[in-house]
Amino acid sequence: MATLAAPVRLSAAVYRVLLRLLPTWFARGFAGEAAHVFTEVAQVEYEARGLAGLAVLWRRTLADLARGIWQERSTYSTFAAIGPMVRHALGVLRREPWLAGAVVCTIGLAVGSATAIYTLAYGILLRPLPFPDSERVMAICEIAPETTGYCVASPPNVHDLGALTDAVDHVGVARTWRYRFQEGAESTPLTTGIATPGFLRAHSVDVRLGRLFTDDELAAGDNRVIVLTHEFWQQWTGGDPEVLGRGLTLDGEEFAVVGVLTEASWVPEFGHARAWAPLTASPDNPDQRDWRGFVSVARVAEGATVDEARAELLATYAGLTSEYPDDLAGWELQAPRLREQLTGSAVPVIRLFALAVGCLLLVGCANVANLLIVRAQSRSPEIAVRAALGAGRIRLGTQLLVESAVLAFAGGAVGLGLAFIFVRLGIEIAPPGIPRIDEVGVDLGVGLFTVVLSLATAAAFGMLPAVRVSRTDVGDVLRGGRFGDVSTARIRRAILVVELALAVTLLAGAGLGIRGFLRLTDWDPGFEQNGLVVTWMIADFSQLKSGVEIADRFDEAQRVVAALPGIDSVGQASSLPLYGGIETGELLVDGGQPGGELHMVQHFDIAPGYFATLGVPILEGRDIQEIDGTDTEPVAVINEAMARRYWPGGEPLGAEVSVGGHDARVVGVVRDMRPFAPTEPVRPAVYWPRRQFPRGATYVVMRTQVAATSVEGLVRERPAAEVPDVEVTAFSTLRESAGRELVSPRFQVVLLVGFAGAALLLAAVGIYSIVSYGVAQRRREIGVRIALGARPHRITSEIVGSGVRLAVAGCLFGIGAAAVLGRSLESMLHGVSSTDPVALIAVAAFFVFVAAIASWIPARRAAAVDTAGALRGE
Amino acid sequence: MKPEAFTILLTLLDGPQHGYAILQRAQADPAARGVLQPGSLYRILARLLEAGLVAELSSADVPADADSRRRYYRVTDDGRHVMAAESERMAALAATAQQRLAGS
Repeated sequence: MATLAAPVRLSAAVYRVLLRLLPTWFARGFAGEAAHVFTEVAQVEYEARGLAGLAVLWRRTLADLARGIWQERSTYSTFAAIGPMVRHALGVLRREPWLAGAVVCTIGLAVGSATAIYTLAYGILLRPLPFPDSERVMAICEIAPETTGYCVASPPNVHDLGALTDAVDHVGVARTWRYRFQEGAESTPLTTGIATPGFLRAHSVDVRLGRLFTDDELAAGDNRVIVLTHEFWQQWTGGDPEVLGRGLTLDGEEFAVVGVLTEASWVPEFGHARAWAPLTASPDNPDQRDWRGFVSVARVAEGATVDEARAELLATYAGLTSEYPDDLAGWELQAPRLREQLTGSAVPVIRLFALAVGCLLLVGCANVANLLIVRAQSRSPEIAVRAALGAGRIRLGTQLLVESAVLAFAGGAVGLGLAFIFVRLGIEIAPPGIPRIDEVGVDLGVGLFTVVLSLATAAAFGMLPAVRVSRTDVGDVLRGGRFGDVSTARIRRAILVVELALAVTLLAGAGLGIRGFLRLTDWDPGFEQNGLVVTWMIADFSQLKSGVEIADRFDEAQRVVAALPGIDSVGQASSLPLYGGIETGELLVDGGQPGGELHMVQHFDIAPGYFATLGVPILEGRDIQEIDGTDTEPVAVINEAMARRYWPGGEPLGAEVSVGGHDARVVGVVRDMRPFAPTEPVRPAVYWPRRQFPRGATYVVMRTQVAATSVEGLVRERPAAEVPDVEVTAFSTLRESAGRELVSPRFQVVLLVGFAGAALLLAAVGIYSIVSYGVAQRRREIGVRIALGARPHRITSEIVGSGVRLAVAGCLFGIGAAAVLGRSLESMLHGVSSTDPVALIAVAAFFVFVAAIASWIPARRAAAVDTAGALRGE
Repeated sequence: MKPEAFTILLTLLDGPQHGYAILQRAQADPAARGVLQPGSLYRILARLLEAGLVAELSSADVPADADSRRRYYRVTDDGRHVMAAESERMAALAATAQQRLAGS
């Protein structure tokens, strides 16, 4: 025959491969002829009509082959034999319970943890927020990257953004506001949201009764209206349908109920708000462009995309910045999707665990692959016999596939069960503050995910031995050889080293995470943490109008607390380490910006005794004192960090500073207090006397020698009882607060250690199975050597050595990978380097130790080989 | 009898053929066009061989000018009997069909 064209040769090759799908008897007798004839036909078609001719031929051929395979299979009833095959598979698996158990547990663990993480990741990150069109709602964030990085917004800016941007329709701002709700003689706190109507409309809230308040009702005089949440309506009126128009007394003023929200109406981050009032219905003045104590959202208008809306908003903001440079300089606009804004903080953590799950899944797959290869090898004589007795290739392959599928389904079922447990466990031990975690539940989609995952595992690793078996030379196996010994040994070792490397990567990650966590627990704020108790005290604004009045009451309360038994000293501050609410403002030194640039510094207002109570020394000048009042010169104490930064080598005492528009003369320098996060620098800070900067609430810090619980009752009751219009609302020790800061990092470390532990277990099983298989293979050789006088402990150490060598190889790759991937751990490392030698060496040593134990178990068995039996080949 | 088997036997009634020739003749016959593909040809041939309706020519009987790499097939006596019975059955069927078509 003339030389064939390339497409014809390719077609012929593919056809020959496809013919293997037909039963063995056909392959033996006729495959060569059939391929030959096909080639001729293909050549004729190609010469006559080119590639089009070949295409037509292929279409016919494929249909013909499919029919042929179907007919031959049903003739030999391979499919009808599935039932007996499953029974047979169960019988076979029962004969090797350890191996089957190992495979099922491996698949179960891998699938279970992957599903659990998928569930959590989906539930927290990917699920749309539960209100209509929520994916078209964006958060409006004004961010000052220099200082806070928080997502905030000011009402006038948001108003202008909404008015000047066509691509968004409903835009609004809101914040939480606490009223005192008066009912008869009783008054209770009532948390509300105060908002512009656009804020509620952007969240698609709906009314069950009445209406939302309108833009007109933002005007002073018209703004005493309120919309109740469904929950509060039920609780307050028992679901009274005639509630509209009723009055609600808040802070001594009458608010008219104009609407009741539906039960489904939901505004993220305002879950605690019981009612909604117009933005202007609080004593604050929300007209200031530079007051950004609000959250804001915008809904993308019909016909625009989120990206278009974002681009338009940014352009509008740039325009506003040039119009109001004083208020907007140093700020930038970001407009992420609301969902992303709400869950953004969890993204790095979830991503990290996705990585960990991927590692664990691969470790599990590698283990299953190795176990199944070992299994196929140990069964090769049986399979060869069956092939010799006439069992078809497809039949045998199908049998192996069915066995793997049974394993995979069992593993999948175990995995699904574990997934439920893991998700529950995850929610249970999760620290508070992970957004939306309370809404997470295992759902149907996740079940499907698990099933697909376990089937994919079955297909991938069930086919592997099936393919190998189909290549087995029956005669060779029956003569006592085993198929592909050398090459599979190499493949298994390679798979194992990859598996070990992945396990070491996870372990190293956990090791680094633990080091980082320990670093976090080492917090030294610069004062003694034990014996510090903190409460939060607020004044009743409906009664106390002037700042001086409030300051007097707070001082009075402080004197009451100081006189309590067990209390050594007392101080007050607007914020302290671990307790939020730190404020920043623009710094001016001697009337000008330092270096002509914008500098933001933290500012606190404190009462005398604050530093003394903490035990932080004044290094230069004097402390804030009782004499510093409204009628004396405004003074300030600065911290070392501020003195170093703005008066390097100079004298800060006596300098004029202004922060956020509040002027003061520096009279003292106080030692730095370290923030909780070890990587965070100490920021410049200014402390004012609270009397010269009064406000309505304060932290009260007490030092006590006795147990906090024994003073709690007195501290909660006495000031409120003895000083009118003052309320103590919280009570905690600084230690408890520090403990709370550790909950979230501990959660992450515990999860990571869990993953690493699972991976270590799988890796140990992997080493054990490889080494014990090797021992079984070499039984005869070992018997001979012992018979010739080899010492058993030599044999033992040799075998342990082979396992340890694999572990060391895995370690080298794994540690390398960890050092690189360690960067993704950054948020957990708290300044510990990702190449931290202590963590990495400890992990490597531990891993090699575990590997040595895993190989020692089969090695000991090898040394105890019954020489005579081994030599007889039993 | 399946149409593929009938086509193969029909072709072989002309005398011994190799597989490709069977395929080519089947393609040339308008009534059998498209019935056979290389894969099904050999599957059906295998069944016919098993049933004893077709036999492979021994090397001695292969024509002198034949391609020595090919296998040649011939119809056995059993095969002829089966073909005769089958064609009678089909003729009777065809006659019945035509009668009914004419009558209706």
